[in-house]
Amino acid sequence: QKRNVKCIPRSWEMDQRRRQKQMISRQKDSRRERIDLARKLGDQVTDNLVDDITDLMSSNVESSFCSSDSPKGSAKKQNMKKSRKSGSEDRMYSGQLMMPDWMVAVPETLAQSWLVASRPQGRRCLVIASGGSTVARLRTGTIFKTFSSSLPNGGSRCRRQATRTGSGPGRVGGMDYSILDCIFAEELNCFFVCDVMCWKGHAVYECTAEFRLFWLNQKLSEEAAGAGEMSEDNEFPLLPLQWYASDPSGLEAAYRSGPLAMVPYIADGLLFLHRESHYELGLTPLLLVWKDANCSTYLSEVYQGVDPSAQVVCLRLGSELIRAAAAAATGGGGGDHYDGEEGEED
Amino acid sequence: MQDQNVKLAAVKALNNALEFASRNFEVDTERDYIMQVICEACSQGTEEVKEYAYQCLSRIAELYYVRLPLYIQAILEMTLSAIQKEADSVARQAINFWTIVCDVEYDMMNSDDGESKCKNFIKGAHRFLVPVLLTAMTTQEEDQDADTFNKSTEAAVCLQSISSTINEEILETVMPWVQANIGQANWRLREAAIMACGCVLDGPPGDVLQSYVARFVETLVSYLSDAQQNCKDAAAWTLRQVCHHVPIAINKQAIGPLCEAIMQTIPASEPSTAEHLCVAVMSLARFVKETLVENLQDRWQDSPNEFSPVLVQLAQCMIGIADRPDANEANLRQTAFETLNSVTEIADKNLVETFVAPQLLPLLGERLQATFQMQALNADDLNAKCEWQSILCGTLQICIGRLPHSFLTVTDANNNTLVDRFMGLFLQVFSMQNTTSAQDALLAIGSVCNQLPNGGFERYMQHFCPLLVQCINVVSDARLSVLAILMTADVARALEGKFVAFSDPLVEALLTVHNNPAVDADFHQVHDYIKPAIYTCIGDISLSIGSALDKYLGFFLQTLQQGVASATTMRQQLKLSSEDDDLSYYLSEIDEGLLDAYVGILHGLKAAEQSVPGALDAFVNPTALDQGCIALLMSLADFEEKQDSVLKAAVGFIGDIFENLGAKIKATYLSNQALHSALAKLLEEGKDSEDEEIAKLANWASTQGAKVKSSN
Repeated sequence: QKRNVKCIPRSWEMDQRRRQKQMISRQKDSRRERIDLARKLGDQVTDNLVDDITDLMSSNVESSFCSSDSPKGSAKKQNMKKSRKSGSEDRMYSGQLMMPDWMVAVPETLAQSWLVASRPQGRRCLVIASGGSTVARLRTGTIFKTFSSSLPNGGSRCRRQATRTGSGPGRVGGMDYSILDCIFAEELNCFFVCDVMCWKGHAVYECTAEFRLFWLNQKLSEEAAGAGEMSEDNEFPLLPLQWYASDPSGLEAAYRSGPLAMVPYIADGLLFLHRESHYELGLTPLLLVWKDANCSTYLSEVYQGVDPSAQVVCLRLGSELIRAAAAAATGGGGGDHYDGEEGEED
Repeated sequence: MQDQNVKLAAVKALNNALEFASRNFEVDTERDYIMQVICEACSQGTEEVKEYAYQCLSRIAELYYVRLPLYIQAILEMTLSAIQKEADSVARQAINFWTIVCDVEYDMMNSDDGESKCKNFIKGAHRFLVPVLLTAMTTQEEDQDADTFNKSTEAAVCLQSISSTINEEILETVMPWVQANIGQANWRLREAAIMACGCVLDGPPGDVLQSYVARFVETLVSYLSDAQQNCKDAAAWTLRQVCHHVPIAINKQAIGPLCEAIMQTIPASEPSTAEHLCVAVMSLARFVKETLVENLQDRWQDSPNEFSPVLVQLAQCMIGIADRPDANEANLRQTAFETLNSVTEIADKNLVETFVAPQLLPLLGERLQATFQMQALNADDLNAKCEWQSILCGTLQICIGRLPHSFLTVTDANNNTLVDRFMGLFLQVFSMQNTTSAQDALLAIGSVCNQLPNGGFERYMQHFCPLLVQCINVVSDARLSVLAILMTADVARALEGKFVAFSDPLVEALLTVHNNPAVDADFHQVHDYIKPAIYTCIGDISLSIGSALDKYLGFFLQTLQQGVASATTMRQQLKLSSEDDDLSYYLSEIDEGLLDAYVGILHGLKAAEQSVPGALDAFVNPTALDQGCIALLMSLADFEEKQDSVLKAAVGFIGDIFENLGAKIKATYLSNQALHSALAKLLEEGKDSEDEEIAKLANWASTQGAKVKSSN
């Protein structure tokens, strides 16, 4: 048997078998997904998903709180990982929202660079849709509601789709999770979506607010049909919050929009968001809140044992444009009902 | 002269007799005598006598390796001198002796109990042997090619064998020599250095080779334009070896220039040189893709990779090669398309949208269309026609799999989609009655089916179904039959409930083939196992058709019962002779298939319960339980050498039984002590498994079991 090192036998069959192998492994995967679904065994997928989401969040913590090489950032990341291992899942999700500062002075370029919206009265939530269900968490990370929504991979509709196709666009799990910044309006039993941090696995923390809101509206209408209505698949309507340019007409519209909105809601102040701002966690000067007696019930909070007259409030809405505003809120954190912005004094 | 002729005849006779001389080799004096005579013949006499005498030595190395220690030192000295001084024909046989020793030692080290028998002759001899071999490699002829056999090619083979036998130890002798000679003006030294480098890449670990090889890559690329044909071909071959065995030695920035150089070289190259270069690109593309997927999973497609800048030209280059008039030589046409496949597989999203979809796909479609007009007057023409159809379907399979779903289903003026057109072409391929192109057509159709969810594939079933039935029935070509069965499972999954309208002839074909005694006649020869594929397919069909399962259930359960019976028999056979790897592998495929089938049926019935209350009761009968899945589980519990895949399927299925049938069979079956302990044993094994998924599944199944226990 004569050999020559340059003769390396090949045949078409090798490539055919390679392609056949790909087909078989694809088939095995989809079979497993179907069966797992039938056994309600999504845990594995969910576990990976939680890893993905918390990885995204912890990387975000690092970039937003500290400069990239700061040890503090990685320490926090470590903590998040650790807390996941030790099972206190809630902590991983705490502090994941952008928190507004009080508007104490009118930003110079208010009309050009800022957006304004009427803040619905209710609880701020981190809403995460993934693996066939949607979870709303409070600022502290504790689970507020778990429900089915029409967000991508957020509910029963996508679960059914996955059963039907076995794979493809409706696949439960994978990278397709979405993270939204919402306010839950108790009286309407619905969520107002203020902002988007991640849509179907695409993180937009680093994008400008203007883009995020455009993206949010686009995606909610295109890829989350039915999210605005209550249905079996969508237990709580998810309505995009209406943002206006901060010019006189926009301000006026926002100021009155709560009760006049398509779905009228109880307003609780105005939110101002800088058009160019990224989604930064925690307190930021690029998200501001304004409250006065006309637009908020919770202008000042009254605590038992504290004389209301001792609370000093200096908020005033200028007649033509907000010209000056100053606030000094005395007293502690939020009450039971309102857990909106208790951290401002920090 | 007369004397020499007699001597030659005697040496030849001895060579043939060696096989029967095992007794003589056990006796010291007799063995000594034989060895002495042969060694004398190796060094005295005509060239022909010496040549055959060395062949005797090689034969002895093969047959009586363990008897060699006493003589190996003398043989080493003798062969070293022969390689350097004797005529080519004798030197080649002397080299071949060491190649044989390498083969024997390699086999020993890669068998379970052989390592202790290995005398490590190569480890001892390579320091003396390698320099002599390297010198021998510089004795090339002017115009030698892949079909040439002379001292230099023999030395290369030996060097490669030594490398795979002793791994990195060889590098310290070879690499300095390569370094010293690869830049030589003398083409013989240069070519030998290039070849030597390529010879030592299959053996040493990649991380060790990386540093040695990386420094030569640029030089090798530059030799692709070497005026000396020998050196050019050697460089192409060595680059192929590098890309295949040590792709990490090529750094990312070098990939683009390497591809450019290859594309420049290929058009004017001999078919064999071109083939080496195609394989180099293919191996590199696969390596880069694997690395990307490993690091980024699905997201690898979102951004450009190292191949992106050259991908379009590479694809065009490969199609150009396949059109060369000499593409029949050296397997060039098929290799070019294989490379095209790997190149298409690494296209990023942007390239899929800008090149694969709008350019490559239509081009391949036109080409496939054109094959149907190809004249086929003789067997060669016919083969060429089928070859084109095969390779075009192959690449179309890849292309279609990569396209966005929306692109495929856009309709044209006549309300036809792109997929309609391609399906029409694929279905035509079957009319050639060629099993190879039929397989590629099936794979391409599989790709289409996978891309059309929600029953979108239904419109093709009327035409496709009869062809599929035909292919399932071609038992004589197991590969085609298995592929058709896999395809049936794909179709069932894609059509779900709508599959019922087409399932009768397919199910009939599956059951007929299952009962064909030829099917598992010789599993030792075949790796395309038909029966396991049938079982799995039964599971997928059951899962899809739900309430319509009723009409097949009896047949399915009977078929599975037969499967369980033969699996049990095989398992007993295996317990008696656990050495039979083929049998053990076949059995685990059968086990997995049967479990897939039972799981599919159980879940199919469970789904049917929603419209037909009590549908699950159909599973509670002796065919399904006593002689079916329970017999299988009991037999598995009693079998220690389970594959992980089988254990996983088994514990999952146990959970399914508890969850869905627990209440129904608690009193009748689950109270049985033997069954109870068998299930408990399997679940324990599952929980102890190192595979997390199995452990998880076993825990879930145990929970289901506990629920059954606590219920009334």
